[in-house]
Amino acid sequence: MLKKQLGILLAAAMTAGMLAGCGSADNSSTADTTTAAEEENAGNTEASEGLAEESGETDLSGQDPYTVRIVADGFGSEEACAEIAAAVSEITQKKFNTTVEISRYDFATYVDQVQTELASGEKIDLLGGVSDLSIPSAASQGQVLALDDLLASDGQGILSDISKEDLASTSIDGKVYAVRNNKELGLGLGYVFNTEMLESLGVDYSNVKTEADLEPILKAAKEKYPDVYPIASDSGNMNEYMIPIDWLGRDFGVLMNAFDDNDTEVVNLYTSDEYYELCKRRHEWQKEGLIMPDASINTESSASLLGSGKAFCAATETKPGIEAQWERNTGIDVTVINIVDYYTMTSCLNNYWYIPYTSEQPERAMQVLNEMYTNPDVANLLIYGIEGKYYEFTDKENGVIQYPEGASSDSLGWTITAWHFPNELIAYKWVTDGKDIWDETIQFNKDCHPSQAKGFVWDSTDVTNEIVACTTVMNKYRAGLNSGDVDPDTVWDQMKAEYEEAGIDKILTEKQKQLDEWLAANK
Amino acid sequence: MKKAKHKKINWALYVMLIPGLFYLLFNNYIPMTFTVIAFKKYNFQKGVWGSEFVGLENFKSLFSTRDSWIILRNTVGYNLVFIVISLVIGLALAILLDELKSGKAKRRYQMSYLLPYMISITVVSYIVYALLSTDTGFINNSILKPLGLEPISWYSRPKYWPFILTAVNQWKWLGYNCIIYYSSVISIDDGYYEAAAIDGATRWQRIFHITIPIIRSTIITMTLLQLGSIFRSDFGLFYQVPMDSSALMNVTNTIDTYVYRGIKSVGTLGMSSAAGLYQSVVGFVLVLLANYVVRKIDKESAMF
Amino acid sequence: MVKKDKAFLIIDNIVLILVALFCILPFVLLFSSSFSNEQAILHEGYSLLPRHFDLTAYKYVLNGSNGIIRAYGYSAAVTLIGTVLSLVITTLYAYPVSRKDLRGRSVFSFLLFFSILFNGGLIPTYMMWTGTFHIKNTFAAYIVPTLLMNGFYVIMARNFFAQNIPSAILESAKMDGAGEFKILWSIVVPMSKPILATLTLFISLNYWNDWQNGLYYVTKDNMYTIQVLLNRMLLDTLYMQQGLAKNMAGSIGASMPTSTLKMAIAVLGALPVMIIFPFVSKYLTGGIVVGAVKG
Repeated sequence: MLKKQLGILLAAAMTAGMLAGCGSADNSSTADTTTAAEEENAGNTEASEGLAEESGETDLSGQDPYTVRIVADGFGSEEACAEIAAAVSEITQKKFNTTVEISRYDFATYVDQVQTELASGEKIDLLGGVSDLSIPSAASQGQVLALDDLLASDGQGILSDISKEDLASTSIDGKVYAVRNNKELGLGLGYVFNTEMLESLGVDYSNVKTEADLEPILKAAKEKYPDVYPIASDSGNMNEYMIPIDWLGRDFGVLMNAFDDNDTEVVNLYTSDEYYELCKRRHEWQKEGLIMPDASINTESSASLLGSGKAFCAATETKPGIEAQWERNTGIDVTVINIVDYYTMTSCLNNYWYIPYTSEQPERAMQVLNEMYTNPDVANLLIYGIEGKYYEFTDKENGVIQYPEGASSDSLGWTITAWHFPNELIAYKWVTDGKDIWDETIQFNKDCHPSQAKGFVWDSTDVTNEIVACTTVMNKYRAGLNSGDVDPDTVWDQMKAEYEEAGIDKILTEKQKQLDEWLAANK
Repeated sequence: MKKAKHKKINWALYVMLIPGLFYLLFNNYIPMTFTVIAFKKYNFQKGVWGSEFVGLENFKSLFSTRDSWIILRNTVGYNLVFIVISLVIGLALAILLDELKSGKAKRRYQMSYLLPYMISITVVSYIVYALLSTDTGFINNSILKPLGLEPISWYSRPKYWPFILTAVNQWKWLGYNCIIYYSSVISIDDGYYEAAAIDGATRWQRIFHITIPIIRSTIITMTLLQLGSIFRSDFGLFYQVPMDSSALMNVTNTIDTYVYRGIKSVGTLGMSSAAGLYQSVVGFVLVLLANYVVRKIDKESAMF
Repeated sequence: MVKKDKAFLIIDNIVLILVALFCILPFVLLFSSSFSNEQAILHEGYSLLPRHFDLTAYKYVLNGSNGIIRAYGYSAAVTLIGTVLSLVITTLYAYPVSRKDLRGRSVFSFLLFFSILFNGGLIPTYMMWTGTFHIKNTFAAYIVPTLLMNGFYVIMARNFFAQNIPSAILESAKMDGAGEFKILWSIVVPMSKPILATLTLFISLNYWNDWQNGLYYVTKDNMYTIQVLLNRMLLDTLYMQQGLAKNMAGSIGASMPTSTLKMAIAVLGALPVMIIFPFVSKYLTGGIVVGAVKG
């Protein structure tokens, strides 16, 4: 009796599952072909309806109506999303007969929410990528579409702006899967200080070249302000190593020095001598009270600790406008001391846009993406909202803006995430960043030293199990060691042995092999 | 159909079952089929049934680290301790409450015990942090310091954590357990106790010879259900409460935290499915075994 | 004997009071830190009495633009409607299964029990409810997925019916020509007030405290319940602890909750329950029988 009942249930369930599975796959492929045909027609027959277009471009305003659903990171209230989407639609409607719908999800839930929607086949046309939605994993699991053909047909504006090298950085097996954002494309590393305290110490900080050089400054601070933590962790994290590491994508295996063009050896950072030295030093500092106690489990952000005068300095990535960003988040004057010069690598292209497999008409999505990338009006709407309500000019000539009197992100329901949208460099500038911020960023991108492995994309598919195992080992030790809470001498040998057992060598060998092949082909 | 002839089938009862059955079908059984992806290299575009079959590949990561043993030990060990302690404390409180005379007092106690049950584990983790933080924590600042003792860096000393986690877990659940046992205890007919009192039984004898035997089916059902989830752990308790402190990992890492830290961050959907399936199957087998044993000993108390 | 009894009662009370303190004192810490000044906590630590009484955290959360009043309203509606529906479906399933004369009874029990141990996980459940039933961003999103019928509660109700409703009463009602639905409504339900009251309490707490359904099935902020609203703020803190906050730091207007704010959020989520709870607690006793069917 029981068996039979279960059997029936199972059969019912399987058919239901099958229907769901096939349905979504079919949709996208049929959509492809029909609209491609329509598009051709549109160009010829209905051109007259469109508004004046730039010369050489096909008029796309006669296409069938379509709605492009954009999903992006950060908070946007229902009302704000609808309002801004309507404003963007006004532009895209005229050009492409396409309306736009915007969904935004909070930072903390964004990746989960997106993964769930993708798994269940919900329609997303344009998806903002963050580092946790990595390109290799999205591409290998079939979550996103290859964009080469779409870029060629509908993404000319994007193609003309992104270098071949950068396109390669977002490709897998020679196919482009994401369009990287135009923003700062490199990073430096350094420490951010409470300016008032720093100046009051009367020490000379112009010669700080390494993290170790900070010691006298920290000691002086400890002496003058005994109740203040000389170094604070950021909610338990002190992941800035002050070493110019090329992470070679993600997972394990790095190049220790991105500035050394001859060093192509893939090593495990977490068992390297450089890392040992760093942990040892930070542990000594911890014992001397130069790093806050319990740094690895601290629940306060470093911004809050700095802002409240409880901390003297904290590690930070650096880039143009970084001081303004810290001043905005802490509310105090800060000084940033740069330790590692600006450099760039594949992992720096950590924000990009995808067209997921659930897009019903990918080429319509690409048209809108191209617009987001090249049209300042669209970029401004998506980043800042609508003029007058969401922002007002303080300096119209230079395009500098701020919140209108009395408004805040809470009351407006729109978090400003310029870095997240395709092209912040064509948008207005926020008042705290200053009018030159985008010029500085463009200059910064030119100045960044490119790692020789820039453009190399790591494919981890064959060693997923080893990566999971090694990640477990890393999680066990990293936070404690990074923050100096744990003495490396007590764990080092065991940790090394555990990495080996977890299969770190297999990962390193595989990565080295891929890197060597890539270097041979590209250099 | 032959049997139905001499006993009329009561269709109304089956009609009542319909909404529940549909709910089980849609909420539980159809989604359950999705677990086949535990054996697949899942590709979103190909869907559940179209993806490539990879056998047990996805299960490998569960057993491949040196920590596999520690993780298993922690998960099962904590669960066994929790099962025993929650039974003892829940039952003891229930009996102590039952001995009280005033109904108002009973209610007041119950209410205070249930307070922690009403807040989420995330909030519990903040409270624990407020108690244990080295620098700002209540215990170091307001208890150890006035006593002239050295502050303790709680979050880096693994030896305390088996006790802390057990205490926190009890704190959260004792009210719930107490209520469940209490309501069985009070349903016992007073006649039994009166008879025992005439025989001159002591309080202890009464508890062990009357109360516990009578409510044994409640005890067994509760224990069986907890056995069924012996491979699961309250993620919040083992991840958020210890603040993900790496120094404590040896005593706080369980299957669920392992899946979260390792598989969810770098693995695939197939691998997390594999972990879930593994937990369910082990729990299911354990419950069947335990239920079988119970059935042999005392048929009435078995769950099915 | 009497003397001994008195001594026992005193010890009994002392033990119970100690346990009560164990449960309550951490709450005092929670309350007082929510009313404290953030700076004072950072500099002087947490304490049982508020340090530098300060309402900043509450002012921030209760700021009108957060829609907290509307969220309380949603919570109340979800809890009310969800609890009623859940009680109905639970009782309808538990009653037939409690009847020994139901053929296939063990199958129906097993289906229930199996669903407690195995589940498909979030994603397939989500696919079912959003793909087939389109409940995303509807009121049903809070009510239906996962919470509507809890196998454990059905077992509790089934056992209560089996143990406390004598079959003789059911038989005689049938003799009088009453249908099963009538019997359930006018005999079983009135006799089962204790278990129904207990289930009401547990189910309503589940609905009130739920945020997971809201998190995945409701993406419109004007439909948030209080727990969804509060948990989103808390999740942001966890997110920062995982070292992913760089993105947030680079954004304008991303909120970063402070410790007093987190505590205030927790208090606001639990407060209504704490206020209503004493009024329903008297129905609590006597409701629960989780043991197996006897006889």
